[in-house]
Amino acid sequence: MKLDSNFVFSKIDALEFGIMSPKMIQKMSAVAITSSELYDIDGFPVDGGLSDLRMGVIDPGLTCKTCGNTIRDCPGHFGHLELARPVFNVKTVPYVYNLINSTCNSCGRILISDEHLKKLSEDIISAEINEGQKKKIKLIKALIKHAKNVTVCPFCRAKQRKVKLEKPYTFIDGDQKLTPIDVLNRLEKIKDSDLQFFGLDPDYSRPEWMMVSILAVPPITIRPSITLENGQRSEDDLTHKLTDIVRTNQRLAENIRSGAPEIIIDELWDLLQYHITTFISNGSAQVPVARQKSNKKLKSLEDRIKGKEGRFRGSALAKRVNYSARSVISPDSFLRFDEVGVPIKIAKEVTYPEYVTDLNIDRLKATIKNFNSYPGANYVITPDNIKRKITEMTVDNIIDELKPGYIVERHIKDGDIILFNRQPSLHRLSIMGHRVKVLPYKTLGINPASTLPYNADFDGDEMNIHVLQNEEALAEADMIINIKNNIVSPRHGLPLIGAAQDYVSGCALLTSKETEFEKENAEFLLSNIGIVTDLKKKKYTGRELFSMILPEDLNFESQSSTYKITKDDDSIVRIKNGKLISGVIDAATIGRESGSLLQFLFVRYGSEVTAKFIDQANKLGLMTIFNLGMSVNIRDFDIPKAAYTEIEKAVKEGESSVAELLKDYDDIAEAKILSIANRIRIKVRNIIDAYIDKKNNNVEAMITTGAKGSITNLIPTIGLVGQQMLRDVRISNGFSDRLTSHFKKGDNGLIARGFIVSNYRKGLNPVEYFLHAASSREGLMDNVIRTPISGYMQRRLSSALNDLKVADDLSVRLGSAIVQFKYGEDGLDVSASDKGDLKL
Amino acid sequence: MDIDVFNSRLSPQYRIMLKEELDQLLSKYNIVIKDLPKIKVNDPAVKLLDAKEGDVLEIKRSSKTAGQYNYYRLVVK
Repeated sequence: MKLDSNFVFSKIDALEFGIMSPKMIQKMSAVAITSSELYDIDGFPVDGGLSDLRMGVIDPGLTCKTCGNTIRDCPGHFGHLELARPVFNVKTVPYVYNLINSTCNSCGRILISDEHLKKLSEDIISAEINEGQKKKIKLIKALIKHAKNVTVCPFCRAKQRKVKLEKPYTFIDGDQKLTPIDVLNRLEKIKDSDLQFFGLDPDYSRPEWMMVSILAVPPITIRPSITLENGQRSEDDLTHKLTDIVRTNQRLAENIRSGAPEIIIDELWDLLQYHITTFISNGSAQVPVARQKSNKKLKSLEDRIKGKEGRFRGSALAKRVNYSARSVISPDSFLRFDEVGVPIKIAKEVTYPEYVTDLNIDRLKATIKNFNSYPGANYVITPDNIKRKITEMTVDNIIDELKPGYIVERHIKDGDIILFNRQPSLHRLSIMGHRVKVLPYKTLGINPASTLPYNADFDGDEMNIHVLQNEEALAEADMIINIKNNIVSPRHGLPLIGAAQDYVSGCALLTSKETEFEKENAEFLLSNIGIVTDLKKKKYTGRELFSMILPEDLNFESQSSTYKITKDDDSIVRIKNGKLISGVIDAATIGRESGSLLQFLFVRYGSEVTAKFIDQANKLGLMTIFNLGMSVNIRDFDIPKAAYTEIEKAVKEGESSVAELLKDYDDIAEAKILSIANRIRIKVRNIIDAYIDKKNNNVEAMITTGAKGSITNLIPTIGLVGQQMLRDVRISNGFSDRLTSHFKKGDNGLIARGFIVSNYRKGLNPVEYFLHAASSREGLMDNVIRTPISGYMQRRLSSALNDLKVADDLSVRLGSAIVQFKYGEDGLDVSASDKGDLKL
Repeated sequence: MDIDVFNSRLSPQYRIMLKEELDQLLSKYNIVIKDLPKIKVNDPAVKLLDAKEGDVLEIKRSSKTAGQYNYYRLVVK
């Protein structure tokens, strides 16, 4: 949309920031505050009190005494409080300090000679024009630093003493404290013409205005009081602070009038200073924090602006969204992977605005009638754009008048497309389109097969849904970012959605050579994936059953994970005309981030077929594992005695070669010792691999099929834990000349420096346990430090690439500018290619 | 010490484009010359070719996936 020049009444040319003068405060004030009382005995606001009606209205129905508007239109009006004595404004103290120290204590001129000033003035002006504000500020800082050290005023020859600042706001000149009045007098003496050297414009910010002599009292509209249920009024934090200020100010004024002793006046003056300080900024260093009766920190003016929840980061830059919901997620294998289980409670709250047509009017009328329960509707929008809530009172009327052209905001129902998201949204797959399945639970359900792209698990993760509000968005969600269309990753062309853990184990179990089912069991298995048939044969092999979910014209051959380990020819997956002839279906064919069959199906048959296949394969695997059962036994972790003798021998050999090394080289042998430790590990790995029972071992089965775990996990579990390291070297220096008191002094052998020969199954001895914990803790600390660093790096990278897009001619562009002449140099969409090849 | 960057096996081939070739390139991508990727005049390759501001270099890069990939960069200050 272009802004019509006819509607531009005035343009902002520049902004000038300044300090409000006491005169200005008085001029804009609607009330002079004279009383610390808020309400009189009858509960009416006191005239001149902090709730004075002239400062604005906060109660509906009342009109403002200043502008005559009601609550909606009255912007609120400032009041003012004349202070008995001026005080510092904490936020300007550093500037005041600079000004006092760079100007003469007697004539008020800047402590730099005239001829110097002329040149500086030119420099500052040219720096601002040519090099910007930053350069100007740099110059001013240098100037102040110079002026501070001048001892004699170049104008009146008066001697200069350095004024010290004792934080937060005590100025000391020699041995005398400077009162705010003294400071005010000094600031007033500074000439207008000298102010440019401090970056100040005398028209908008005279230095004496940095002191508070008249306090601007904010309108009640920004510090509204609320009425509690019991009729009591509860005032805003700012009002509480203001009553303190007014009360202290009154006492100070009375004491001055009655000629009270200096000490009492000073004390009250200090108290006034404290209250005004905490009114502006509660929590600055060296100032005790002002608290409410409940010990809660009072919110100061600064708190409203500053930080994450402040006006800028928390309000102005904040983005909020309607028609969205958030809940804990739970796994639900009985959902399709492109579905999301939505609790009824959510389904009744978030709605879709459906246009009424002749075709759907009866259905929509039924939803309106059913507004109290599910599936119902919440609002109706008339053709003249009036939104009406459906209630007991309005239902009949609305149903009567409903006709095409109306819009009904109906509850979401099964099959609606919504967006599903988990933060941090690091890549495009963190937000995908899913279909709704309304369920009677309280958490969002998700099929575990689609957790990978979201990086979700179920240890308390929460996810968001967003209900789309028009047909265009709906079509885009369905056709572009639907999870079905994003099975294959645009990064490496492998499926992100597929079988994992039990699904893999189940499918492997189902398709292994020996698996057979009686007719009845086979029928039951198939019924779970929606295939209801009368089977002819008496017995069916698992491979025959699995073939029923394959496309009929599919021809495919690929190695399975099992084949890669066992080299058993029967494990090579061969599919001819949709029949699984041989092979175990496991992680290599249907696993996430590895499934070659899924990738093949996606490229050859498209998303619908692949999606259906994934769901059916997973379900088959799951039901197989339900029926046949699968568990692990401690015996699955057994390796024979002979294996342990070999492991012991390997350790002994390692120990002696380390001892040999140390004899010759003393302490420069570290690198060699580490490689010996590593060699022992590899030996142990081979021993485990050679000796572990490969048949009737479910742990081994999970490893070979790629369902979960690897030999690497077995090494510390049943072999030995191995070398523990801290900062990339063997653990050292617990005691003098030894690691702990369990070892001999000067022993640099394998065991004495943190090589653990026990395993998790047998258990670690206390020393081993301690060293293992030390090493693990280093890992945890590294992780804690690295996570935010790499997170921020990722964020900067994606922000930098944010607006790049691939144009129709396959060039990558930023706006109209070219970044790459062909996307990825070859112009290939990785997810649509077969391992980087489009020659299908 | 001056190093002949063109002698390095890692350096792609550079060439200053002719006017006609440039016009063809710009019309192919429907862009103006400023939309091209940039290269600084003080870049070693530009210095060696003695290219001037406003020239466009054709850079033949070898690509793992595409064999050869041509890149075009506008010489700027």
